[in-house]
Amino acid sequence: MDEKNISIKETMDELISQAREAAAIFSQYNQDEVDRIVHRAAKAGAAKRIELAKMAHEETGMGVFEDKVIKNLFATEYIYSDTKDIRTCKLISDSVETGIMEYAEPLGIILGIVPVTNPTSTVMFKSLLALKTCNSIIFSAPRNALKCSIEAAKTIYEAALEAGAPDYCIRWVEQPSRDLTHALMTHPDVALILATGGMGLVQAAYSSGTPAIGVGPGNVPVYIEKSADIKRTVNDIIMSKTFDNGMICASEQSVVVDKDIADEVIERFKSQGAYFLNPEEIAKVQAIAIDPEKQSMSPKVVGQSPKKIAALVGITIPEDTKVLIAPLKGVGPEYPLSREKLSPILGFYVVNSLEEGVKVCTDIMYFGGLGHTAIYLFRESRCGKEV
Amino acid sequence: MLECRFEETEKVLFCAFKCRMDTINSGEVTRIFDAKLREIKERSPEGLKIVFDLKDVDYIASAFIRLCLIAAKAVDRGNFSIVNTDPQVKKVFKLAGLEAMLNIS
Repeated sequence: MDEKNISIKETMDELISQAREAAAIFSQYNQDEVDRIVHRAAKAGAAKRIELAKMAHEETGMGVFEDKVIKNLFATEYIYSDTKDIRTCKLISDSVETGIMEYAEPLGIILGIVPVTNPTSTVMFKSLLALKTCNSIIFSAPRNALKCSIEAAKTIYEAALEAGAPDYCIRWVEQPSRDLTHALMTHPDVALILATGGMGLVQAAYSSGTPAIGVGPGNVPVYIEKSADIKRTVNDIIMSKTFDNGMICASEQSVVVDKDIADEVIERFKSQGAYFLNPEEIAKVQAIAIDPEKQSMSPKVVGQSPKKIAALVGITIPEDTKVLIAPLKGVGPEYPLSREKLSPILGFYVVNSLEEGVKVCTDIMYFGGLGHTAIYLFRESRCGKEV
Repeated sequence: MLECRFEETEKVLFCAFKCRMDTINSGEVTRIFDAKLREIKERSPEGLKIVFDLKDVDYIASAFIRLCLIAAKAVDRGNFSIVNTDPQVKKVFKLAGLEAMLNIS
């Protein structure tokens, strides 16, 4: 075994041994103890939401600082409020009617994979889930989001410790590498992988042999049916697409509009700060936004503002542009902007009927977003049933 | 409240604990244990056996696991054992991967 592999093995053995001990100790905790720990940890994370958002924004160079604050708050306060009454320890239900008693058993060690797009919020969210279920968790974060991820993990860990959580219940990789992440994924003592990230990483988690819950790429179409409330839908799409500069994987990647309302939708988008790219500009944007070799979005545009993207590709756009919209004629490799972009760039399609709209949306989802999210906006409920 | 009893014969140190072995209690016990161990080892360093009786222990913290590991390393292989272990506590040792190493019954 060479030096590099020895170092990986040593790091992994230490992390696993600590996390295994923590998980063992955690298995003795009762619901009140766990709830107290989660409450304190969530409060600590929420209290540090601004500092962590600033760190994440500065370190990754992606997204919008203010939106990251909201994400951090959601990942702590909202998650706590949403789960605080759920029983997760030992006896969780006892039905007099059926005579069935349900017991919750911790899994042991969870491996948390952290995405560069939402590092601090993901770390805090996964930490709280692990604490709530009496499991220990080890984080592996990407190099360009390492400091903020570790800081987020430390924040939750220290608060949890103060509230009585076992030593080492939250661990993190100090010097991440692909080999170490792979070694952790395939370690027999890791009971579950919570994988958030790109396609390669999520696929690696699913094929590791360890049970995994993956949140991989999406390519989200939004179909605006002719009965939709145009003002509201355009407003919602822009708000969603500009949040953290479009880095949420459930945010819209392409807009599909019924022909009957297309002009009105376009005008509304323009009035709200959308800039429609012409064919030449589309060619320039797609050349930078989509990596032709990897056939996926380029990190150069992920989480960047329209202004920065425009400067990067060499086009001029109005100062107050919120979203770049690329009218496209098809879906597939020959239309690179029909892919997921995780930036304020939207594909735009006009369709003649509900059937065609559904077909285009389906094509978009099959082009890298299957199993994720699709959005259908309408007012007449029959359309929903038909779809 | 910490309750522990140490009995020593020439070759055996018997330690019975009667409390929740959380971080604080384990820390205190570790200090007492270390002193006892040093004293015994100065007297007769060879062939010592250590037995931990966990009959009245229903919770252990990481600090207590570390105490067990210290005890196991202080004597020859096989000369440390934990007896009367509550099933829940035994499960903790098992989950921590220490069941075989610490000779638990």
